[in-house]
Amino acid sequence: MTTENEGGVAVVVLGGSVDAAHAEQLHRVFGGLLAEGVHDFVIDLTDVKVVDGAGLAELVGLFKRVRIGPGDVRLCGSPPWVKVMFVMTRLNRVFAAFDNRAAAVSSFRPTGDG
Amino acid sequence: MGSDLPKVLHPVDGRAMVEYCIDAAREAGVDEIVLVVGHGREQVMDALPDSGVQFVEQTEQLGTGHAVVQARTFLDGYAGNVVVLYGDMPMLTAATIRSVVDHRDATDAAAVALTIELENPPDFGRIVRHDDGRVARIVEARDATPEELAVREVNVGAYCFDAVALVGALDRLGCDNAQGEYYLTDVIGILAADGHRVETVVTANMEEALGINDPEHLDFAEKLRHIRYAERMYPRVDALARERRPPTA
Repeated sequence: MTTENEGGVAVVVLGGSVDAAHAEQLHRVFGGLLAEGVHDFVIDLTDVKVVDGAGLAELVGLFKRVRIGPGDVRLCGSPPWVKVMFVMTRLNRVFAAFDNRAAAVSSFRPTGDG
Repeated sequence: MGSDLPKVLHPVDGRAMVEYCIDAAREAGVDEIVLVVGHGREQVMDALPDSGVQFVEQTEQLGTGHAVVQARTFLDGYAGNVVVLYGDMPMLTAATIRSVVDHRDATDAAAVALTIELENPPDFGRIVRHDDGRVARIVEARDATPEELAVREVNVGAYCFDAVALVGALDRLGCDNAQGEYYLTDVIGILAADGHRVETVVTANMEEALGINDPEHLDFAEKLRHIRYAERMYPRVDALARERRPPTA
């Protein structure tokens, strides 16, 4: 797992298994970013192979914490199997998803000529 | 909400938000439900023909306490629990309502209010307590002093009252406040000042405290409903994840 800051948006790159075995680590990383005042998140799922309920719960927990304020959690790069899990759980209706990281990050920027 | 539709009829995941409140109350064991309808009352009554609730009209919008007064005919002569909820809180669960009722049953308090502790409370009423910890009153944020605004325990907007105590307090509600309205929250202060026991049940679940006041809240509530569905699906995801993982040596 890596994290980057792209213009105030935290990009968290996940890989392998997003599951119960990694839930505590996810919780710690998300908590640290929230404590820094970050409220806009992009979760890059490109290299994720498996998600389970505990992994999804961590993403949902982050969503609830930021969405109660001005923030949001958006996804990018979901592989087909992961995408099926989001559709099956209807979490595809909760998280806005983008094909790639650049599109997800830029979605946080205001549109128009300003 | 930027719409002519009465707020409580705005859909959350395909159902009017007030229907979730009605369902939660019924599931919590509330036998008789009275819906106080103000703005757009004809639309609300038409939209809920088979809900099994009774309607009373609030022709003047003079506050939450005034709204409860409109249901006075249902309260006179009744002794027992009266649950008061707001129709714009679709995330409140039956279990939480039940916990408030159970606490009143256990303590015989005149009133039990659902509260939550927040780091930076928004415009929720603050729970003001005496030095010994007893609830003194609820002060709305717009009427609060800076010291009261610093209080972290805030009112969610779900109550269980002793019916007789509630009626007695409603008779003495005033409207000397920033809004010039009759606040239901002032009932808490009246009961406490009379020496009645007033209790709180603290929830840790922020989403249950979500009141819908704008399209952003509506969108959030809709997503929270989807999340509740997702949470029921996690065991299925776990099973599929087990099948997908490579066998360990």
